[in-house]
Amino acid sequence: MTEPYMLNLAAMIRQVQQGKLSPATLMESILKRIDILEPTLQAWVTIDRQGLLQEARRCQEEIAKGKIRGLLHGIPIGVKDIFYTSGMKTTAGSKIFANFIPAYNATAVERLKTAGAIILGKTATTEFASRYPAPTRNPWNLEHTPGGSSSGSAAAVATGMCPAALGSQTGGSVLRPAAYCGVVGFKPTYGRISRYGVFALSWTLDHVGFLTRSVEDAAILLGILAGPDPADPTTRPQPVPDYRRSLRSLRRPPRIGIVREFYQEKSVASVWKHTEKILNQLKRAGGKVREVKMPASFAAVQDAHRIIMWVEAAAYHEKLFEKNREQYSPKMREMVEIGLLIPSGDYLRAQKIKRLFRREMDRMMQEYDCLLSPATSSAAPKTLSSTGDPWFQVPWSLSGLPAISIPSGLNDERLPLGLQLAGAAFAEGKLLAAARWCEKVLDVHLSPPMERFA
Amino acid sequence: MSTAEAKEKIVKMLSNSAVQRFGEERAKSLYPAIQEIAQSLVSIADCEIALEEEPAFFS
Repeated sequence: MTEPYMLNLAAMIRQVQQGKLSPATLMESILKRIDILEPTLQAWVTIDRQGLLQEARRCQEEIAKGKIRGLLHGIPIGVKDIFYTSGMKTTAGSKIFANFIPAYNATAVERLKTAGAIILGKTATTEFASRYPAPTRNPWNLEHTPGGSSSGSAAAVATGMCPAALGSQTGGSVLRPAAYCGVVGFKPTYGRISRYGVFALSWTLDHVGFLTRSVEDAAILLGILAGPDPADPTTRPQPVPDYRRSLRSLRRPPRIGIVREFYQEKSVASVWKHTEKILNQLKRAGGKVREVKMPASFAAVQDAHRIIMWVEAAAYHEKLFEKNREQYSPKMREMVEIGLLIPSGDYLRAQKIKRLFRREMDRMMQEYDCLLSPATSSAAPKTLSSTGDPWFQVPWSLSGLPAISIPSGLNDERLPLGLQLAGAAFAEGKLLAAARWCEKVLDVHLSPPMERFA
Repeated sequence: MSTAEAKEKIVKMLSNSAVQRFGEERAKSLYPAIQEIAQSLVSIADCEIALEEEPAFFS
């Protein structure tokens, strides 16, 4: 019999709403799973065990009375510890906020709750969603990083401690940990999901995203989280389609652009070989694969991203840093101090490159349903003192275009590898449909080896 | 000016600012990071951008 914690989000929703699975049974199954895994994986910062069981029972009573608050009624969801959660500790992975309890929910959290979700707890993040690692281990090999900054969210989703979790991405912080841990990672177009109530790292690069175990689950969450928010003026009024229906909208195999430039050179040989193999598989299934020539501005993307992120992080932290210098990690301290030195003219030049690159990519995206690359330059590195490099996600975090990573197999060390697909602005439906097509063709379902936790 | 010269000039400018802002000792420990960011500054300076191009910010 399938244990409830093993179900993906779509199956959990179906079973709960059909009365085949009670939210209380589901919660007990998940808490039991957390009890077994958490001492080793350290994916969570806060879990209110008592409150969770009470809330699950309340959801069950509501179902019995025919009251279903929304699609996620009674479903436990993890939340990265940089999202404000009313009455629940929000540390941002920093000593400075070790006891900070927000008075309100981030808009993304509020939308999950309105849809009936139970906020399971707060997942571990790197310090301020930047470079200093969380204590979380990679469930595939405990000596390897799970990636970051959404480290806890990735490890928790990969191991059935929750079916989905919120994350955030400024460089590569959703898609990279997703790929390292063998799950799906999604970040929408900049402006699609509200960032209100989320600790900022870099205002013009920060995206709310999430981690799930299937593309369909990502479509479900996007439908709940997307849409304008008066509290976040950067959100856009673009209509929010039914993304689950969008999954079936592609009536032919997708037009896929393969990005060799930069990605091939930066990938370790085994990753590129794996990507070529996957490409052949997609071609055989009918995918229209063409090589992409990236625009000239692509060459400056990594540098422009670094400058914008460091300057904005420094501006955000300047006052807090003055008073709490010693409580910042050396890596974060360096970022703030260097960011304060960068001349404003250079920052503006980097922002011009951001705009130029986006315009050039908007034009190029008209010819493709998605652009494909490996999700990461290697499998999860054997280290716990860094979270790997964000290079492969940076072009999409800078341009604000939507991107998704899906698991594509294991390397020789039995560590997960993933594919990254990027799409056109506010065309997440098309991107998800292409990703679903690839997911079906590849038919890869990864589950970390659990013997060591038994 | 060659790329190396341009980088050297930026490193010097950032190092001086670091000394003024954080003191000599701290500036010294920031030197590797200063070199790294100087490389990025040189790289974006080389990118061709039209005069009328505007910064992106929230898009």
